[in-house]
Amino acid sequence: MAHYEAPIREPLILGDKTYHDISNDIAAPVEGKANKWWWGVFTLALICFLWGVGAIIYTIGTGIGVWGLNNKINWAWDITNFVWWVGIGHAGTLISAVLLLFRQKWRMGINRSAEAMTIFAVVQAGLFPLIHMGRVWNGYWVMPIPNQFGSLWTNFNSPLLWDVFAISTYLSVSLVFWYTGLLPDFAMIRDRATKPFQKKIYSLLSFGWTGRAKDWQRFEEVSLVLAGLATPLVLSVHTIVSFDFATSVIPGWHSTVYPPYFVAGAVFSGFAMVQTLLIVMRKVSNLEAYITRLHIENMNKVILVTGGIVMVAYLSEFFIGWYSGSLYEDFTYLSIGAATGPYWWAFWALILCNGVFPQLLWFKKLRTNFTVSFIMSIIINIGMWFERFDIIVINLSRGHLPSSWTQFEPTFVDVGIFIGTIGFFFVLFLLYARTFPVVAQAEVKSILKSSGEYYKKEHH
Amino acid sequence: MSNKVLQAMYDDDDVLIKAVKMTREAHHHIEEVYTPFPVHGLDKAMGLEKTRIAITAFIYGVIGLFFSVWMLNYMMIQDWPHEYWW
Amino acid sequence: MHWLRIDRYYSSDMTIVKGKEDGSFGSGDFFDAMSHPSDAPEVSFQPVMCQHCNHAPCETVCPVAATSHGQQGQNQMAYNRCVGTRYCANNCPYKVRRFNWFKYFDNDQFDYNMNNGIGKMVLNPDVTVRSRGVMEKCSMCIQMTQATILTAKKEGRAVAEGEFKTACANACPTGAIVFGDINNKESLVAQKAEDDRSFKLLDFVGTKPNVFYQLKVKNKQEA
Repeated sequence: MAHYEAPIREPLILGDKTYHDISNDIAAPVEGKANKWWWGVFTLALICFLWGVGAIIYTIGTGIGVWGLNNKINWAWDITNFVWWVGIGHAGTLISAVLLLFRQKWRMGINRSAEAMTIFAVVQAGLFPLIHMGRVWNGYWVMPIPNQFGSLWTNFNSPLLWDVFAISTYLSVSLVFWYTGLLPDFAMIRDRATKPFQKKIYSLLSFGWTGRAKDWQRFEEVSLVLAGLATPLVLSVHTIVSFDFATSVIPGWHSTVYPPYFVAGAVFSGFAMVQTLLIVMRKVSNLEAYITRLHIENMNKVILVTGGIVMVAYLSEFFIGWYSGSLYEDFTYLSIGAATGPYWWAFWALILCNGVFPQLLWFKKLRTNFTVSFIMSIIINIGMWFERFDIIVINLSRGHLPSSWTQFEPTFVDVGIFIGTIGFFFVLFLLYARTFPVVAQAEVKSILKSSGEYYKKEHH
Repeated sequence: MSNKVLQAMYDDDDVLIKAVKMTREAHHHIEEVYTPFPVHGLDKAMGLEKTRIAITAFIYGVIGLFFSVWMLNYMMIQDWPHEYWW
Repeated sequence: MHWLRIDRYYSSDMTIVKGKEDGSFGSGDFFDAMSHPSDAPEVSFQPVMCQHCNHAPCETVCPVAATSHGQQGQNQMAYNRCVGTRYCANNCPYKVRRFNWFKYFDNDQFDYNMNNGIGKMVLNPDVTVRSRGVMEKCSMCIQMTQATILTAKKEGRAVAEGEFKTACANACPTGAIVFGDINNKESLVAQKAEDDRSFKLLDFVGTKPNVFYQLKVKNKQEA
């Protein structure tokens, strides 16, 4: 029997959905009109985005001096935001790739939107290495292209250069993975489209997909190959980002725990952002049958595990800093010096948001509650922003030489650019929610007979 | 032998797989099978050739690895090392 | 613009020894007490310029290879290659690098003598004017270095001891800054390096700096 699933497993598709119902439900947001909530949030996001664009133009036109940086703290919000956005992106890849290799069927309801989140998050992340440069117009010099300077090559010893390759690889693999999955779903919308313009667009987007057996065979094989490529990327990309700090000499940065700690932190914050988006989207786009309580609970479990790894990393940093007896470790971002110094508020925000509050997810009643999960996801994202801020600014503010100790204060341009990226992210996601099929409907159909609530009841 | 073309519609994928198997056993030619979602085991039941996507992807990866190692050696060691006087 | 920093070392009444004695060592109160200057502070002046590290943390991290090591042992900064990622400045443990945050010339928001023709004549014409977005630092007077080396080359001889001095060494009235060829065993600088008082700043970090200091010896009996 091809579609047997143990009755004890909770259904992944609720209600008595048929194949046709799935097509209707997923096509509805694309075929229908946007409601006032969509327009409200979109307008707000667009305003933020345009404000951010203005702030970026001002920065590039006038100079990095319009940010709050100084000669001792040369990175602050720029690289904090970069790492924050890259980290958020990792959840989508993990859901698409790692959960595919682990044959976790619950990924099918959420992988499309999670991957969309990854693409849009990496777009935001990619802005920062560009705009944080003093001379952005020469930014292409980081690419090893033959040139007239005697072919002056790039410096492959530099972690920033490894970032260039890692992030661009990550973006391209994620895009390909996302798009291949989208082909049959675009075809579904094309086949239902009645308006000629819509039909033309979706015909183009679906590359003439017909659903032949050979096409599906290739589809499945490509998904596995890409999953095999993307899984090491989940681990390597954020490891390379962590090397921006771990390979330096600054106390607090120079720490071997950074690679696994950053990867776990990335998955932690990424899943939190997926929760934020999906808990709202399932209600607004009427997808409660496909993004169920079980999906939210499983994601909370991943959050709990990765949050636990992050906490262990904090404890080990704290302990080893103290145990080393080195005076320089007394002022790093996880030390008594940070807890009681001028950045105590950033330190405690980190501990509370990342360490204390997520422990509430141990209680089943709380982790299966939608409101609690939503609030928790916001808290975790705030906490993870503070983690990167603390790592960068607190450590740079307390260097080796006490004469280098200084404070940092953001300017309205720093804040404006950050808000701008949040706005840009939501503009992209909202547009996506109304033009793309937000659930992998072809994959969900393939598990309907095994995991649909109606079919499970029939088997008893 | 007459050249009749039969088009059949199924609403259940298990029935489809059975039908494909029976048709193949009766030595009839299956032109194409279209499905709106992937049906596990359909390509095997139809006797479709396996794809070479996975092995070619691996080979491209190996080529990429060799190219990148050669590129790094050329750029950082052969062509213009950072300290070039020794 | 100000590449020479004068470190002033304030002493506080709380010391590590005292903190360990009264048990407050490592607590928040201890660190707080250490940051208050004492009533009779001791001051030492310690100019910290680019240490021209042999294992420079700044050289390896520049993505576009804008900073490299020279044959004379100095750390070189190629202004025209710098794209301004500022990783080098973050990685420098001495924090000697300075970034050009704005355009400082032909810009009336700043008055560094570079807004008009007369003012610009104050500047040294041999030294490049750095553009906005570029990192700079002490170069051990690279322009003078090159001129001295090329003159010696044209005359077919080695650079003589004392022929070349950095501007800071020239300017110091008490001779507190000495420049020379450390490979030349007879030079003043090589002798001072052998001195018991000589130490390198943050040598445990492993940067192998080319600048070394001499410990200040004070007679504390007669305050």
